[in-house]
Amino acid sequence: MNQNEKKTGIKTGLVINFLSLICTVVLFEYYRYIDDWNLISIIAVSSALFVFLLSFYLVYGRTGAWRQTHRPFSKLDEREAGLIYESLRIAYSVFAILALIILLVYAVSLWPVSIIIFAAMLIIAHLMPASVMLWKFN
Amino acid sequence: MDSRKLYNRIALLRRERSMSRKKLAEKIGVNFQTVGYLEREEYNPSLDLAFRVSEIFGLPLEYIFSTSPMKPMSQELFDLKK
Repeated sequence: MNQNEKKTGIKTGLVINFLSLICTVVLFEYYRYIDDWNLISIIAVSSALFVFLLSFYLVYGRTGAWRQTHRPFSKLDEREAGLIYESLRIAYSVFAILALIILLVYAVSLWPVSIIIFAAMLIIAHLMPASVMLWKFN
Repeated sequence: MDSRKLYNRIALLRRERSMSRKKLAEKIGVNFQTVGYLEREEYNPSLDLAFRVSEIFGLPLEYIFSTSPMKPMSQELFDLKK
């Protein structure tokens, strides 16, 4: 696999990872809303979650991006520290906007914020810097 | 602010001294991938790192780094003789 194919593969993996996370949340919220938990709904939510976990392992685990963005700054050299700093700056700007949009949607729709949304936001907050690093800086 | 590209002779000097990237990385206190980035001139080192590189090779800073493309060593020697 050449470098360009690898980069495209990682970007595709990132998109799949975020889409599967969104799917998990949307399906969970939908079935919670209609209050219809049956075998099909459980399989649908579990499948989306499985795709998320698998793509998480392939994109963040195998590339070492997760470990890289969670290492203490003292263990990074100046290039790595600069890279992580820039990734964090972009990631948290995007995250702040995303969090505000989600809060606005929930406030307007008068829906209670579920534990799943909280968990998803927590996961996104941790994934964002690594995603930016992989997407922007390859 | 956009910084200028820095050219360097790190790859040449490292090979001259039969030093691996890993060994040089250990000596200057960076990840070995950073040495690769430096050699490909894809990353401009800080002043501190540039000094560490110059100390390891025992050469003045301006001999290793330049803001204009580096001349081949043979050309430089020839110019010196003239």
